[in-house]
Amino acid sequence: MQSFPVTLVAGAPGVGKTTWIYQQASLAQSAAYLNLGAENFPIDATYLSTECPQLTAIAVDELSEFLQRSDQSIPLFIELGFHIDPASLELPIAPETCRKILLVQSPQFSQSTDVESRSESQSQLLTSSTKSSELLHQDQQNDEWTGWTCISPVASPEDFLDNLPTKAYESSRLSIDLTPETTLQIRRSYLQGKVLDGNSLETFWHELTHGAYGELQRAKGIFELVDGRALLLNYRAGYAAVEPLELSLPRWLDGPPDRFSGLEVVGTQLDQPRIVQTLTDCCLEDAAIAYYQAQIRASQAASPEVSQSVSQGATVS
Amino acid sequence: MKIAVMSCIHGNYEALNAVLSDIDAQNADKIYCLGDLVGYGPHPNAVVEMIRSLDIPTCQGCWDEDIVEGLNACECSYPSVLAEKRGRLAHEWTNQVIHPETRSFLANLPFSLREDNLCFVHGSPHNQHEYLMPGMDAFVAMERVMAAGADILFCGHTHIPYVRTLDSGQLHIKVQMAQPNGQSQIVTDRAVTTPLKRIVNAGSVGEPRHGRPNATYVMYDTNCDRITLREVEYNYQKTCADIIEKGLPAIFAWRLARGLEFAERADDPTHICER
Ligand SMILES: [Zn+2]
Ligand SMILES: [Zn+2]
Repeated sequence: MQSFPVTLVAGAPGVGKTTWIYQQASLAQSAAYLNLGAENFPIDATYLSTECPQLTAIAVDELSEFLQRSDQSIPLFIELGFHIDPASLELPIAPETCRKILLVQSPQFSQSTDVESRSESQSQLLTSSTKSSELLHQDQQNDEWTGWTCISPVASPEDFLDNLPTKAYESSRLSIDLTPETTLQIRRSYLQGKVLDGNSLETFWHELTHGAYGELQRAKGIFELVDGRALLLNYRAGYAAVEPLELSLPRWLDGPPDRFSGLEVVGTQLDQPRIVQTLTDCCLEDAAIAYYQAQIRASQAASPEVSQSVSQGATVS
Repeated sequence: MKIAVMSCIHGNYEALNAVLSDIDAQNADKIYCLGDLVGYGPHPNAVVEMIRSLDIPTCQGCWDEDIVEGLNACECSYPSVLAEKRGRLAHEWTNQVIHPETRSFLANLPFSLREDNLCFVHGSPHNQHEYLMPGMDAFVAMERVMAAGADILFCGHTHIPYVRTLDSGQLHIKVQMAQPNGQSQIVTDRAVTTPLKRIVNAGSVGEPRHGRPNATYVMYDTNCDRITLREVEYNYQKTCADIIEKGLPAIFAWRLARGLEFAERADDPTHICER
C-alpha cells in the first residue's frame, strides 16, 4: 500500500469492484474511498463506510483537499463507474503514481495478469468483457487499458465464494451489448425519507430481477424498512441470488429516515416510470410509519435486550 | 356421476373457455363454480355471461362480494401495501366496466352450495375471505369441514389446488396454561373421534399461482370416489394482450404469464376483517 497510496478500480457493472475494495480496505488500518460516477447517489459509499468502519468515503470535491492533507499512509481507493472513460479522467494525482486495477469477470483469468503482457486470446476476451459496458469509447478499445493490472475477482481464493457466477459469461453474450440498440442504461431512483413495506419490496424485487421492468444487468439499492433497518439488496445477471444485507446503521425509529437510500439499475429497455410508480406503491404513508415506529418503541421499552442494541430505543430503567 | 369444480376465473375469458372445453371432453355430468368470477382480468362481463348462460351453480367469491358491497376490507386482507394498491386498481376498474345485470347476478349468488355429502364454498364455510391453506392446523381444518356438515368440502380462493385428507381417528386436544415461572402445564388432554373428511381446493381457472400459466380445476367422480386435479393450457398471451389493451396495469399481464398470482395471501390466512 505504501508505494501506491491511490488505487483506481475499474470494471464492468457487477464484476465486484466495491466488494474487492471492501476486502482490500478491510486489510488496512484505515482507508479512503471515492466513487467516480456515483454523483449524489452513494449506494457503494454507504455500504463501505457502514460495513468497514476504518474506511472513510469522500466526495469528488473533497479529493484535492484529501490528497494535500493526507500523509500518503492512508490508501485511497477510487472506483470508476463502468460508464466513466478512464482516458478522460482528470485527477489531481500523477497517473503513474496510481495503481490501476481492472477487474474482469472470467474464470480464464485464474491469476493476476498484466494487461501489457497478456496473450492474444486473453486480449480479445478482455476487450469483449470490458468493452461491452464501456460504451462511451468503443473506438479506443486497444489502448485505453494499457498499464492496468487485470484481476479476476473469482481467482482470489477467499474472494466471492458466496458469489461465484452460476454460469460463466460467454464472450458472445458480452459482445451483444456493443450494438447501439442495446446501450446499457443507468436509472436511479432516490428514496431518501421513504420507508418501504417489506413484503411489497420482496414482490417488487422479484419482479425487477426477473425482467418485469426491462432487461437487467445489475441492480443495487438501499431500502429503509419500517422496523428501522436499512437493507442493501444486490442483483447481478448470471450470478446466484445474494441474501439482503442489513447495514450496520442505527435503527431509524423517529419519523422518515434522514439518510441516503435509493435504487440503481443498469440494463436495457428499462421502464423507469413503472419502476418509480411501483416503488411509490411500496412506500408506507407517514401515518403508518408513525404508528409502527411507536409500536416498536413501546415494545423496546418493555424488553431491555432489544432496546440496548437500538440507538433510538426508549430509556430502560 | 362426474362433477367438475372450478374457481377463481377472475375475468379471464380465454381460460374459462379452455376449461369448459376440457370439462366437456372429460364428460362431466355437472359443473360447480366457487366464485371470484371477476377482478384483475379484462373480461368480467363476458365471464359472468358465460356462467349465466350455461346455468352453472356458482357461489359468491370474495371479489364478487366486494364488487357488490363495495371494497371495505381493512388493509390486513392484503399481504402487502403494493398488493393492496394493485387490488384497489383492479377493483376500481372492474367496478367501472361491469354492466348492471352483471352486478345483480353477482349480488344474487349464494354463499354456499350443497349436493348430498358435498359442500361448495369460496373461501371457508365461515367467510368468503378466509383462506383454507393446505398446511393449516389439522384441528382447525377439521372444524371447517364439520361446520359445513359435509364429507368433502370444496373450496377455492387460495388459487393453489390441493386435496387434503383428514384421517378418521382421534384428534388430541391439549390445552396448555402458562405458569408464573414461565413454564407451561397441560391442564386438559381430550380426545375427539372424527370420521374421514376431505378438503378439495379447485385452484384457479383465470389467475393460477403454481408457477405456470395453465388453468386448473378438479374433477370428482362420485362412483369411484376419485378426485383428479386438471391442468389446462390456454392462450394466455391473448388474455395478457387484452389486459394491456384495456388499460389495466401491465404487471398483471407479466404475472399472469408466469403463473404468479397478482396478490398473494395474507400473512395470517385465517384472519377475517371486522366488516
Ligand atoms: Zn380468487
Ligand atoms: Zn377469493
